[in-house]
Amino acid sequence: MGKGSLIIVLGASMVLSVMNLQLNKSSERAVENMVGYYNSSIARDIANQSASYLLSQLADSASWRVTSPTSIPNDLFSDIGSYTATYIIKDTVIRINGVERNAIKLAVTAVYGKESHSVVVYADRNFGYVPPVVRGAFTVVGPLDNTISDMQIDGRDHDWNWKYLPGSGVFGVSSGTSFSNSKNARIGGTDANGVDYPLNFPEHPNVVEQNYKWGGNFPDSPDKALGYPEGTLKSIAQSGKEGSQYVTNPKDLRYPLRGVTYVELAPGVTWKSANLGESPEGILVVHNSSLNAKVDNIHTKKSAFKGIILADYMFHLHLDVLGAVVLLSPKLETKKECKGNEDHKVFYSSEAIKRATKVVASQGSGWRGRVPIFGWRE
Amino acid sequence: MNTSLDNISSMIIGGLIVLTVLTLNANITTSAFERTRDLVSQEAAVNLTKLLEHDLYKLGYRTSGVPLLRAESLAVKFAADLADDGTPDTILYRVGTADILAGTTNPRDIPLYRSINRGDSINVAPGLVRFFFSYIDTSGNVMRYDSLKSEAYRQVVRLITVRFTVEPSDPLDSLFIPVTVTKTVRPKNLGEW
Repeated sequence: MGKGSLIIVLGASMVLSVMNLQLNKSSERAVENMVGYYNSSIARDIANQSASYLLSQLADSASWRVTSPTSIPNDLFSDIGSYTATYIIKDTVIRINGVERNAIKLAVTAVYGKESHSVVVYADRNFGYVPPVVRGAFTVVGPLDNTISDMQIDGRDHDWNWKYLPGSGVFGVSSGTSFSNSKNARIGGTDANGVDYPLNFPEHPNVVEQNYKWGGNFPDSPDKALGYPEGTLKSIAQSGKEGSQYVTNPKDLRYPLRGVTYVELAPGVTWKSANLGESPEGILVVHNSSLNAKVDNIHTKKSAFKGIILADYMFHLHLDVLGAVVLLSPKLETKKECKGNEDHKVFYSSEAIKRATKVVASQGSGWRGRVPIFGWRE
Repeated sequence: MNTSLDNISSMIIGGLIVLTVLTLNANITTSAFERTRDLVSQEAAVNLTKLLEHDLYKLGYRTSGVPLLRAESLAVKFAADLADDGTPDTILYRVGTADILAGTTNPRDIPLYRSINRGDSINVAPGLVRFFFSYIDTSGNVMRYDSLKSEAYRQVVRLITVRFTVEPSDPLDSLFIPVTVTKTVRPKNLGEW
């Protein structure tokens, strides 16, 4: 019996050992499963944080590129132990909804433990932005009929070379009041559903937005229009950043116009025969706090103005604009007539606006609001 | 006399040892079974979390317009370029009802269907017994489901929280060991706060 018991006990011990081994394996798998997920989450965090870190550097230096895989400094995330992260930053072209866009590709791969995670960010090469106020090639709060007369206004999107980009434009005209087109202006644009309509007279009703209320707060200053604290544009203009200038007398302007050109006229003063010079670009502000700075017979010496014009009142527009025009005053021209500008055009261009607003967007720190992101894949 | 007493004693001790070993064996078997079930639930929970993360983090990637197309407690539908080929896909998750899985031992398990571009709906969560989405706006507030019928409200969604519980399909002594997961995802393509 003693031998029998011994055999039974030994046999049972063996069975127990095998089962214990199985149990341990099962526990090990459970732990591996959770640790794997944990490591994967950490790798994701490292990749995302690295991308944010790199974007902040890119915001300060838009031309920065790293074409071969380079390591992120090991002490960047010192609290989480050992990791590796490599990145590249290069120019590329990305297709979004069938439209090709020039982009910067930032790719980060992070490895933590046995897990790795990749993040790819596509950023616009133009670091500016399109202010929400720009709802049309012409955005106004007052009557626009006499101001535009018979010129061509196209809210469809265009690139820097006037090439039409489908499906990403704005209204031809966005107005805070009713709009009539009695002078035969040819108007095109993109409606709220992204459908494009070519230039035409009479215009398709979908390319004109009327009686838009702006939540009761149409911006009454250029800073509000761009979404910045009061005085920001004037301060940039006075700093001379990227060719910016601030004048109270238009005769003091230096050409070519670049950056922020801020013309602050005394109340009721009109800038007559307003010459923007050759190939003007950027943000043009003609404004005073009474909202009655007037521009009459605005023209360029050669080629178009590319960027965004923020003015209180304009009349006799004898120039081409690639970008957008925003008129801040509710009191626009309703009596005088402007004839002979049918050969001039205002074409919406998100690229021209972004290039113009880049000088404002580069204010501040971090990357949010400074680097426009097309897509973030993780 | 002494020999007989020894024999009886050894039989009793041997019997007790055998009984102990068999009981221990039975307990370990039960424990191993329980651990395996637990592991299956845990793996199912991790796999489902990974799948949801894979899709939800791409919400709005390379799309235009408002990418969140439907935001409900038991369903979410959104646009994202999953294949990274420049063409947006439409992804739908929706929770089915328990009667569809009436054939399983667990009376509470429900299917979670995932479909891409109106393709086949596939149950991606075996053993799922509880699942719902909630949505958080730019102010950090949990949004009411009825408001999310409006595109204007879906436009301000910034975080999506998923809560779910997985149990084994077959019980152990009528006991279903649950694994509950709460995961909040912030899809970066939804925009800034």
